[in-house]
Amino acid sequence: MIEIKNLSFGYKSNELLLKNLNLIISKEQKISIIGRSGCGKTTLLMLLAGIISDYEGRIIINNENLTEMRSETGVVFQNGGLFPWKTVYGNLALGLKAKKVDRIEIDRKISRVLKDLGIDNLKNKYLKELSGGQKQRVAIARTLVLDSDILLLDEPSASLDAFTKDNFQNILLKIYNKYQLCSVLVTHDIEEAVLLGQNIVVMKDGKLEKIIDNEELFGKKDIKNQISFYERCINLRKTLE
Amino acid sequence: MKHVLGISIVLIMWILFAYLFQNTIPLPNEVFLNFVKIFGKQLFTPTLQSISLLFSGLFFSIIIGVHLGIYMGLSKRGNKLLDSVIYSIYPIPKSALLQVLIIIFTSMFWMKSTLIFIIVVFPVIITVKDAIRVIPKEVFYHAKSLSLNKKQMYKDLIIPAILPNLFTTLRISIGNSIAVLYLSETRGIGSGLGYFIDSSVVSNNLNMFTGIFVLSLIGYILFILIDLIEYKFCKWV
Repeated sequence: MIEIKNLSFGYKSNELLLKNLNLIISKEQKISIIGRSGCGKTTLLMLLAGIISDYEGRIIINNENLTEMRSETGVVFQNGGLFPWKTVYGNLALGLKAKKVDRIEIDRKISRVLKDLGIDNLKNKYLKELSGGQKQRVAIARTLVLDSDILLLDEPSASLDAFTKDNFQNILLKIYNKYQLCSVLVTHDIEEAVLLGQNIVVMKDGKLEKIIDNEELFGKKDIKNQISFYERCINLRKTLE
Repeated sequence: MKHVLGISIVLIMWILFAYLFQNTIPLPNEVFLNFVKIFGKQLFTPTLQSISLLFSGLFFSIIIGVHLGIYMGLSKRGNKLLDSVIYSIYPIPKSALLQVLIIIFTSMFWMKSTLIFIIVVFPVIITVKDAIRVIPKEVFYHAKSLSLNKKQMYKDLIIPAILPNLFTTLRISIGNSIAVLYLSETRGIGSGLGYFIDSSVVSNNLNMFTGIFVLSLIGYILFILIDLIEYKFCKWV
């Protein structure tokens, strides 16, 4: 569970980028954060990841004040942030080795997660041999093997083409259903925000403008809901205008 | 296969020049035969002296250069502190430094080795520093979130990130080092292949070319070695 209390932050001391944010994200809740460029959504994600720590207010994760990066918070960046000099296996094993997990357990976990993401055939490949969508799946796999309880996604499909993006979003939905994760997705893509968020947080000028409940739509694929999906996209677009 | 093709091109060019300058340039087979004939008697010691010089210079420049480069790449303060020092010393002509080193060092070996060190260390520092600065910040974030210790940071992040550029710099530096090796070996109390070549210029043309051939062979073997190490450790490139 993530609790954000009176959170303010600015890269320059006299200019606040995030202004007095308050938000509670419950365990296993999936939220999408959407807003115009420069509204502070990525900065908020950096704060939740513990990458930036000199903020005002409080960020409480599982009843503990966030003061530094946690290994249980997985972050998927726009460019993946993977180690190009390691194979897919090497990238996934790194965190487990750092936690001194034994070799058999490492192999077991990696095989399971790669299978869940449909990339078990890429285990021994280097990043240069992977497509953009595959790299992003590896980045997600890296967080899942570490038994992350929070998944932070910073525009993970921004650099993907339409077909790969579609595929990637379906994989994310599958992961959301299978793994008990609290997830925060930052995106500028309205359809993606509606598709992947139980709640959609609209940010404007460093403030949380609106929180939209999207839960009944989540994960449903029948025609009626497809129509509802586009209606919701249109409504969200109007909110942003 | 690419090596066979490359060597064939060099040999063809050599033969062509040997026919063009018949009294000056010997044919490859003459040089090879002379190499076999004189290596044990006259060439072994100079070759050993030159290799020791080259390796000591390269060894110290890699060790010190990599450490300084990493320090500058990771620390803004370190970069500020050393940047101007490096940029002011690096452009000094190395042949000018040779005269200074002759005055400073009493040991000819360390004088020559230091000269090679000075030539190689600056490109190594700059390469390593720049290689670290282009590592995506997200990679560091992930390493930080995993609480990697210092040893793991070096083994899993810093060293692999700098290796490809380091190998490129070493390839370039080897050529420069051998050129300076020759220059330094002809100064002061002469020794090594440089002195052997220099002293054969007037007396024995064939020996001179055999010496050049050995220098080229040393460089070639070093290039092959770097290729092999790179293939082993940089499979991701």
